[in-house]
Amino acid sequence: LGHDRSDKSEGRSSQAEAPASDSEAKVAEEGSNPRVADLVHDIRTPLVAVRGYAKMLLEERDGPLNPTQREYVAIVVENANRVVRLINDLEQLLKKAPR
Amino acid sequence: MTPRKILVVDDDESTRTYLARFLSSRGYQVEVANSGEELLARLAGGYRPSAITLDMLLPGVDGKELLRSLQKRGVAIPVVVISGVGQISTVVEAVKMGASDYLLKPFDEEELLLAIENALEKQELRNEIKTLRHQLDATTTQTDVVTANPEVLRIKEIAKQVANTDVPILILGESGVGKEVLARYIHVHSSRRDCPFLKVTCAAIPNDLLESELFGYEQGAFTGALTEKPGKFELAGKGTILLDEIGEMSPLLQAKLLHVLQDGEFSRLGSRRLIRATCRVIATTNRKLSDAVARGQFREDLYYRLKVIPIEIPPLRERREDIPLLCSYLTEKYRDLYNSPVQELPPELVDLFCSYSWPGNIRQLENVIKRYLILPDMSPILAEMDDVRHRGLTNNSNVLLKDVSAHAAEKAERELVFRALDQTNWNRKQAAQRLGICYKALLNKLKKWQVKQPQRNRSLPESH
Repeated sequence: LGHDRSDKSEGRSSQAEAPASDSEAKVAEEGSNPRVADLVHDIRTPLVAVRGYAKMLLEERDGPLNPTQREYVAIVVENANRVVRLINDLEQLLKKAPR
Repeated sequence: MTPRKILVVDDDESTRTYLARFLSSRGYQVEVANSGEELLARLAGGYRPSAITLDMLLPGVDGKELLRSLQKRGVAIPVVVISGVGQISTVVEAVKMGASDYLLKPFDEEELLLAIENALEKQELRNEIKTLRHQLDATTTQTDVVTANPEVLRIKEIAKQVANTDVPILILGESGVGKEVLARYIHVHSSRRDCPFLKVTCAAIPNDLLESELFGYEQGAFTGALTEKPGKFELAGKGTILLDEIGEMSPLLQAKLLHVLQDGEFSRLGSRRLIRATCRVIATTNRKLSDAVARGQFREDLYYRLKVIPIEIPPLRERREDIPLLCSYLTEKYRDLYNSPVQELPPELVDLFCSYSWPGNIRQLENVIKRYLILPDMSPILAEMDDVRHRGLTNNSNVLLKDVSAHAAEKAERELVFRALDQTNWNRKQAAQRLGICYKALLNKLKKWQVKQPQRNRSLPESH
């Protein structure tokens, strides 16, 4: 799981490589267990709000944070990023798993 | 600057609310929809956001179906897809179906803003190109009424006064007098000048097609309506719509047009949704509409609706003082376009134009000038004008037979004389010899016909 990805690259999907056919590509991309793949996708959704709101707090648009609050929120953002990296790695593993 | 409107479409409440708050904090005006059905209903209700952020996995109508539907309807709103599905096949499919960008959840906020800004910029460029095209059309098309005639000057003054009102204008006049030019003059002198000017020639389109051309249609409104299409009333926006040859419109369409003029609303074919008509209507015709009303061919109520401000442009023969002005204007307008060696029309040609009746009015004059600029030879023009005069003579039942034969003989003579002059490069002595007449007789004929050597031949004496 040492596959490290920056925040910028994690959000955008490459549009360059076209699949040979939709069904082949779907199997190739989802790997052996499509239900696990769906679950992984579902984990991405709540992360939008978790990481997003935490980042907004750090911007202090809705009022200043004291140093402790700032530290706690920064930890939330950092760990949310960590979860994103874990999901990305999990997806890679699913793709490589034997069918 | 008006805040740009973003519609967030996502079934997950926390994502939807977060996106709305985040984008609002960056200055966008945000609205949300929690399903594909809601998005379609809003668009059908006339809501037009600047951009849409769309989740792919939605219950009911999903992201793919929505993209397909927007593409089919020709809805030009940029869509940024934000999805938990990162399969390459899904991304490729979404982009093929018109998505501007595709972001994977959870996205980087800066990247989202960049995707939205890029999509908006692209759309604005498209709109700008459209506007520039309209402006280019306006500069390459005649928008000034060239005249020295008191009556036409008065019409120009009225046109300027009414330009900024919303009332319909009815422009009457023979074919070719410049009704469309006056309509454009009104448009460019109104506050609508930056909006489109659209012309619909009612006589050129079959009535069934004219209805869909004017009012547009929904997908499936009739066989062959594969995609939705906005009509000219919609496309004109806050601009001007010119209904040319309105006298040819069918009674059914006359009724529909009356409804638009009265209530300021219309609906596309196959739809009950009312759309506000915000454009100004200018109608033109060369028919006597009052006679058409008397014969029951044109609705009386529509006639009076359109006749709020009637303007009748006099024919060219009743404003001969405009002919030299138009000659200069049209020569200047077309000589560069046709790369013509002619700098100005020979005075004798302009004199001849001034004495001609111009049944086709300014359009005919324009065509004759174009022809002279391309082929600077007066003889075919003189022959054509003579021919029209001759036709006028024979169409008159009170004419004497001897006049007809004298006219025909003179016409034949002129043709032979001009041919001889052309062949001898306007060497009149040689031409007289070829014709078998004396030099003085030839000069007398040319004087009688008020013909002088064209400029081109003077400057190129022995060129062929």
